Amino acid sequence: MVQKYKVEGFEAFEAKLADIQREFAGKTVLVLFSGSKDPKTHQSWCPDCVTAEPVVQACLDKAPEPEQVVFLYVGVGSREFWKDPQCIFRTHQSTQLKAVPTLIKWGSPQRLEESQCNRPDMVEMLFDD
Amino acid sequence: MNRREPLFKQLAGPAEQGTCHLPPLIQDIIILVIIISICVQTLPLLVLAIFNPGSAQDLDGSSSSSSSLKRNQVAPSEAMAPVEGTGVKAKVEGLIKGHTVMVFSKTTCPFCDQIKDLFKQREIQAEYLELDTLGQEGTDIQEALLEISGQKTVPNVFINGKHFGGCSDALSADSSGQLKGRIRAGFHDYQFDTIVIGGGSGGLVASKECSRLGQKVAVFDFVQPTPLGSTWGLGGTCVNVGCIPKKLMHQAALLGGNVQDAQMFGWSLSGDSKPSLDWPKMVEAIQSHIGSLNWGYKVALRDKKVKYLNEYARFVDAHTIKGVNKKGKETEYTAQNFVLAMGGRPKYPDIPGAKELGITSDDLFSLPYNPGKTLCVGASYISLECAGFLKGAGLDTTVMVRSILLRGFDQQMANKIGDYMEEEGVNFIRECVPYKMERVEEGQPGKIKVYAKYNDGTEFTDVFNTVLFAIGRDPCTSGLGLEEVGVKLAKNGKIIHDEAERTSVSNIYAIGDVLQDKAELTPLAIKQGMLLARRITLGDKLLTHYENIPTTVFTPLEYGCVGLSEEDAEAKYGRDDIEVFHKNFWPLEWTLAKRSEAACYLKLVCRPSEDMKVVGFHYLGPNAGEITQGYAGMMVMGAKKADFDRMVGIHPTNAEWFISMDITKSSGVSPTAAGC
Ligand SMILES: Cc1cc2nc3c(=O)[nH]c(=O)nc-3n(C[C@H](O)[C@H](O)[C@H](O)COP(=O)(O)OP(=O)(O)OC[C@H]3O[C@@H](n4cnc5c(N)ncnc54)[C@H](O)[C@@H]3O)c2cc1C
Repeated sequence: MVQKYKVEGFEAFEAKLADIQREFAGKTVLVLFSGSKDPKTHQSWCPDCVTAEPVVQACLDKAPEPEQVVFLYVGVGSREFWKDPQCIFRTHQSTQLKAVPTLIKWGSPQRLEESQCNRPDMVEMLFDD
Repeated sequence: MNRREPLFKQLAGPAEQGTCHLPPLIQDIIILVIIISICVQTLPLLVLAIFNPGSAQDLDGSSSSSSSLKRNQVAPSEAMAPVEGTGVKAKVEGLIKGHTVMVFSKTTCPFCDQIKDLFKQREIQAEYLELDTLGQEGTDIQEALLEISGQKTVPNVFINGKHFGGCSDALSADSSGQLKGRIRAGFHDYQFDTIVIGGGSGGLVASKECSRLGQKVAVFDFVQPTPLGSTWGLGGTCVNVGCIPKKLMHQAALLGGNVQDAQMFGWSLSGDSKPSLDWPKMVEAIQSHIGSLNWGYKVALRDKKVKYLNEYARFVDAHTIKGVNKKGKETEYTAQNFVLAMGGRPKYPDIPGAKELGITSDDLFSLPYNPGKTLCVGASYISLECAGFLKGAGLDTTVMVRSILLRGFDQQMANKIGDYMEEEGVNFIRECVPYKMERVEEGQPGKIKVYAKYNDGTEFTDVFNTVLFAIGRDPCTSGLGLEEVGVKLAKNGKIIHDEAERTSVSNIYAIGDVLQDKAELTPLAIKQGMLLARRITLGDKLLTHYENIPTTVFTPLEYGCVGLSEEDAEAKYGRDDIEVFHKNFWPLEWTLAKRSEAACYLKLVCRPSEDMKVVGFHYLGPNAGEITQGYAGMMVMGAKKADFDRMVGIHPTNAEWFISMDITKSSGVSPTAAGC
């Protein structure tokens, strides 16, 4: 089983990522940045994120070596927060996001953006070496 | 693909679908005619079905061993055979195999009308079977279609014996340009329409374009490690070990120079005023950028539905190759066409120690440690460029040259490049060839003693930290069975080809650095790949144009050229029919920096008998690539000297010096500029 974690906001993301890197050194860490979900509807404000999440989850369930994969879901905040060009997820050196959803194989240049995350054939490439 | 479309009842189709609705009487007549024609046409096809009972063809095109079916329509005379013992499925399969484009439709369905209109407009010959005119058989056929294709609705289109889809699939394939390519791909039982060998500059473009135009395509890319063990990702030479890291290291070197110039402009550097380059940091930054490019290519191939195979390809026969992956696993693949785009690799000299102790450009750009005192062997543009940025990075750099600099380039310009590099402190050892190398000390870098001989027989020896060979490149055409399948190679291993990049085997094409007598440049490989893909898929006629290809050598003083060198112009037209306009210039940005006044130079080689048509453009100075690319447009359009003079300059720039050049070489007047 892929280990899965879920956090909201930048600080929580940084803290959790540091934990994961400490605890699971050497494993593949996949991070999905997504528009945060409305607590009532449990739906993200971002339509591509809504489509992407189940696709990504399904791919994780089929990962060739699930015990080698750790997954971190990060809610980047409300639409308003994200749309700000100064949003920390956009500006910070470690993330430099241009779009949500973005799925990153952490520590590598491999990332998928927007509708690319909806395609299982693309997501599966992140499991290749 | 198998989008379901509603079955529209007669006249029930919404008008916005763009179908025309005829009065019932006319429709009845049309239906009658169609029924008659179907009766006449289905008989022969039923016969075909008998000849191919239950032919279990793989409809998705994956490997199928059953051999070449004859796809022509059965001659009417054969139509008299009794129809017995054939299922509906066999009949349908017979129809599918019997026509390049087979459409199962209904007379009452507006989407079917749409497809018929589209095919008519595009002059696509299709065979139609109207299921609603066949009573119970029509219903049975529809069931069979569901079984065969997973699609029950009409129109159900098959192209070259393979399921294609419905109306919306055809419309979108038409608008994306795929339809024509799909049809032209023809009937075959190979797994792929086209296999491209080599995922570099040319191969990537060719594979994506073939796929975009409707073909089923795979691209093989496999990097064999260097003797030192360097290896890299998808994208070929340019991205990994060529243009890209080369230009970035050149830029790193230029920046070092700019930091020094900055002080002359009033900037003060805190602390140590001499900038120093952190080699591992530069390499890491460059490699990280390359990593993102490798990934981008992989994503793009997926996106364009090209199958990427990280396997080394070898021919088994003219339609089959064997792929070997990293783990040594072998797989066979078949295709109708092949595109050879394997590029080349650096040569090593045949001397003791070369492969064990030397490196090439394949290692340099990812070298994790500072190479230290370096010897660049060779006078190719790659050797001079590497020497240039190594010197710019602050290293003790030497170039060993056997005879002339930059063979094939304008020699006046080549020598000016050499002069400038010498002025910058690069050592040149001329007319000298190494014959032995020995390790003096292990380490990163270690120490290597190089033994060489001057042409006059005198000995040269020196110790270097790194020895880089840049003495030429060999095409990657050996060891993959090319000659065994009939592909003819020139003596130097390059592929002999015609003007449409066809090799001596009719279904095998070649592009890029493997081609005989063609420039080895990324944009050329890209152009060849793009145009070849269109010729293969669509039957386009457009050929690659080989005149006026611009290029730039990124030595410390950059050199850009388009068209003929002075020597070549003279050889082609005779000394009497060329006039050379030339000029020395001092870039404004070099004035405060107190850089050389005499280094930058430009010349236009013109042909008096053609009204001073410019046949050679040469620029030696900053930003040569940018300037030359712009002027290449004029050269392609056949500009004359007068066209250059008609332009108004942009001031103050270096490019503006090309306007109103008035000093000819033949006049003997000094080309030194007289100021603004
Ligand atoms: C140091 C250097 C600097 C350069 N600078 C420039 C420049 O500034 N501007 C410019 O235009 N050009 C430059 N070039 C030239 C440019 O890189 C090439 O012209 C270009 O890459 C050729 O493209 P290609 O498609 O022919 O082959 P390549 O890009 O070489 O790609 C061929 C690919 O095929 C793979 N391959 C080979 N055989 C097989 C096989 N049997 N099976 C599977 N895969 C195989 C190879 O590993 C490679 O990945 C430079 C080259 C070098 C070496």
